[in-house]
Amino acid sequence: MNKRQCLKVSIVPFLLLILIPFLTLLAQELKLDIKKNVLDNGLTILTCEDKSAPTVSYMTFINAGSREEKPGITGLAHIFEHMMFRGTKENPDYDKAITVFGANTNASTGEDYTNYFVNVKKDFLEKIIPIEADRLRNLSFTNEAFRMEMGPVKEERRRGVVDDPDGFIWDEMVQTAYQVHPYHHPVIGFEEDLEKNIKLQDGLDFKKNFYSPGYTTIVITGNFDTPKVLELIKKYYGDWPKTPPPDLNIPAEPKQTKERVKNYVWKDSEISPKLLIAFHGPSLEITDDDFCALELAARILFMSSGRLTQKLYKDLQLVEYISGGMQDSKDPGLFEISTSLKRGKSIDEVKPVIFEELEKLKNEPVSERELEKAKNSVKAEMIYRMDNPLSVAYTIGHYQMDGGDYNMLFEIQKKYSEVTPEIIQQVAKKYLNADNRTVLTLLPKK
Amino acid sequence: MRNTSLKIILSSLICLLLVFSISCSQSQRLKIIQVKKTEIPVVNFRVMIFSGSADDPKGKEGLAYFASSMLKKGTQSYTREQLEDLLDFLSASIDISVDKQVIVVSGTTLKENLDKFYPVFSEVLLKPTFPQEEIEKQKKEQEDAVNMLVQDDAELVKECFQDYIYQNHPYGHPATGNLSSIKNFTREDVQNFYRNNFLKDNLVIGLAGDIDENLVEKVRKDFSTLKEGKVIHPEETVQPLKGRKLLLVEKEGRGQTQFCFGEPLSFIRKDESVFIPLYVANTYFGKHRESFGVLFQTVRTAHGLSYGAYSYMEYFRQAGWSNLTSPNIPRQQQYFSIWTYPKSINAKFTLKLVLKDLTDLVEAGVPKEELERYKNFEINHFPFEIQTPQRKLGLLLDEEFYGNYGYVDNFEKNVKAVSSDQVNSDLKKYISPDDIAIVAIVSNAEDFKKELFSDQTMIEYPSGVDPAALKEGDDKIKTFDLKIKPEDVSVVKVSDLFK
Repeated sequence: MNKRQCLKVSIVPFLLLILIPFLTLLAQELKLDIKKNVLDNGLTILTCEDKSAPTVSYMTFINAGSREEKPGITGLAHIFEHMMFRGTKENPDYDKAITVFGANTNASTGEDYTNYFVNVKKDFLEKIIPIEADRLRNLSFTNEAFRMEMGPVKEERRRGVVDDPDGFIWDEMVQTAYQVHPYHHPVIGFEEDLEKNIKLQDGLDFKKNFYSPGYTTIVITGNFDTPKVLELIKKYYGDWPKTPPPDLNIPAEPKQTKERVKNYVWKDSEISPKLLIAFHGPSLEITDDDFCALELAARILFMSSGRLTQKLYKDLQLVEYISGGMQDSKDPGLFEISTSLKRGKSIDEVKPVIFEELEKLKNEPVSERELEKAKNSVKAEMIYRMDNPLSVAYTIGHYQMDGGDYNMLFEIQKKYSEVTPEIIQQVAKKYLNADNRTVLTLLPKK
Repeated sequence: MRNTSLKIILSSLICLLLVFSISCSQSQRLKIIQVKKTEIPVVNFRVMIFSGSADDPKGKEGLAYFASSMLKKGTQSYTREQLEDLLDFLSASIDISVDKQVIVVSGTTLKENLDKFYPVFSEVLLKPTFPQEEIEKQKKEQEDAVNMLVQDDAELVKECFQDYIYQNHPYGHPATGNLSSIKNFTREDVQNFYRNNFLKDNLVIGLAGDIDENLVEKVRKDFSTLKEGKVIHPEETVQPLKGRKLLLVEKEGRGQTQFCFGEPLSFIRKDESVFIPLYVANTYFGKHRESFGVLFQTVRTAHGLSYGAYSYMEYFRQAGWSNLTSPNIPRQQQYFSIWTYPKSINAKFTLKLVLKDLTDLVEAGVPKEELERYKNFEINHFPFEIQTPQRKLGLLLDEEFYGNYGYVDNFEKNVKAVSSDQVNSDLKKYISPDDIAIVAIVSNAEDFKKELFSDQTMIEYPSGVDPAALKEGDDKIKTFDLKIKPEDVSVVKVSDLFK
């Protein structure tokens, strides 16, 4: 045991002593009592009761998204999400099975995870669990259905990327900022992969690797009894066979050493000029303190009273909107700034103002009031999110997936509270530099 | 003695009754709707003013939006910058939305900041100053809002559809107005609009969340200082459509054709005896973001033509990322509409397919067993409509607008009572598939017209679709009569819109 390890060991119980009362306090403030259970096959269940709610949210998280896709099969995680609504032998028409309960159901796929939710009146939770377990375990996966889903997915892509300038420029940004990490490819996938590359076997392999108990977390929130629900989950998921985890080997993104710039012209003249700037940043991992400092820096710049909002939107009136933030993701994400210029205004008028403010963050400490506003906003946002079971379930699941532990939703608040003006300066100096920057512009057709 | 006592008792009772009736009439003038839920330490305010863009004077389209946006640009105690700073500091928000017949000013704060937030919220509504320097800035912001409208095809097609069916009607322009009308707004216009519309008798106040009697009384006292007065709103009937009309909005480079089509409804929305049966029929036919609807099943599930295909029995705006509708966009006159967006090469086929689905719906009605399924769906789904205090408050405020008191409480009973005969006869009475307006965003209007009036109907099947399996049905769709005459097609370039 070396000296450093020794220090770690001795300090942990002390930290826990401080941390546990703080977390308990936050949990009480948020009125969340989250219980974790893990079945023998590795399936994780997180429950959080709220007896005042008339409904229950039953959300299934698969700890795999487009990050788990390899080149040539981009978009597969998302196609899989579509497939999950195509029924099983037991319930050939999923919609029909679920409609009778008045359930509100949908799903989404991101870079890091996929989630499926069913919101239902509390009386029907027991009926929903076998249907959700059945589609997760026994999905009909025919070539015909698989190919069939490509049509709507391609139309979804056409709407969100081909005909949407904001979607288009974001897709180009991830492809430019990331060179080797799978965040390089858009969640919806590349057209040629959707068109011809993805095969049925790819779908079956994805199912085998990731639609397994070890990769699944079920989050249940709202009005129910945890012991009763756990019994039902054991009944319907307990004999779901455990599978060995796949060998993933996700390549890390090498350090960017030079600014990347790309300029595009859109296909019509109706759009406002767009400017998207991104810097490689940290991940959401609990061990990385930089995430919270960068998120607070973003709020200091982009809140309603934020520096860049006031300067570019309110005072100089150069932009239609400006926003930004630190992406919270499993692997290092992007600190991004997105703006749409007023017609007739030039990128060259706006870009220097943004860069000047970023330099200011490095050179001068932010004021205590600015920092306090930013901290207040993250805390309040968390409380505002607690007003319905769906939003609570999503928040719990998000931290479990991207942060690796649902407790992070409490711990992160403590981390935010510890950020100082000096730390903001340090992270600005560490990340917001030209050689770590990607700048994309999209101009209207002349 | 007995008589004297009786007289005293009677006169006391009369006095009490008088006092009671006075306090009733005062509270009727300033109505406060409350939805209390103390589990989450959050307080919501919502003030609904019964005026909107339909009240914009001719030539001043967009004034309601402009004047309402100016509320947040300075008050007696705060400049615009101070307001923004304070709201950020409190992590609170004040939002303003403007629709055809209402303006809604809503506020949200943590309970712990209520004492600091409420004075700001009330000043925004009661003591705005409309600073001249902010008037010019707001004009530019509103111009941006107009420009942004043409950039998002899905929003654009729905706005164009409304403007098309409500031509020469007070509903017939976007809330944001147009570029030429915005230029002419003055501070006096804003002051007049505020003076004439922000009146005690023209609004209702809603409070939700962690609220108590002290707050209610404070709000009542403060807002009672608003002036009294009646607002005369324009009342014009919507002209029914005759035949099928097509408006092509030309915007180059489209990969998809965004479609919105439908017709004005001739009943008044508050008439639940008609609205609820048609609402359930719509659930069966094309409820928003639900995959069980007939439209979704034929357009997406069977043919893979579009990512979505939905229908609406009233004006719809999605609430955040949920499937639910936003409350507080009430309109006495509503329209039925369908929204879908196929790949451009499949536009004509999709148009025929959807029109055929609609024709079949009206002719055959909703099958009895299906009606029961979707009645159950709506009954069991309704708790989501009211699951947060804000949503419930929103629906109760809508009751105030429509005057259909008890809509929320009686929803289940009213849906249960819907009969198959009623649904099917109402569909025939109120939906006419032969008399509808169709708006489409296309790359080239001339090419689209040529294709539309050619004998061919193209379809490019997605790779997983087996055309042979669909052939019989698709041949019928291909020969479906669109009943659109060349003279019923009009074209507008996107660059000419909202000028």
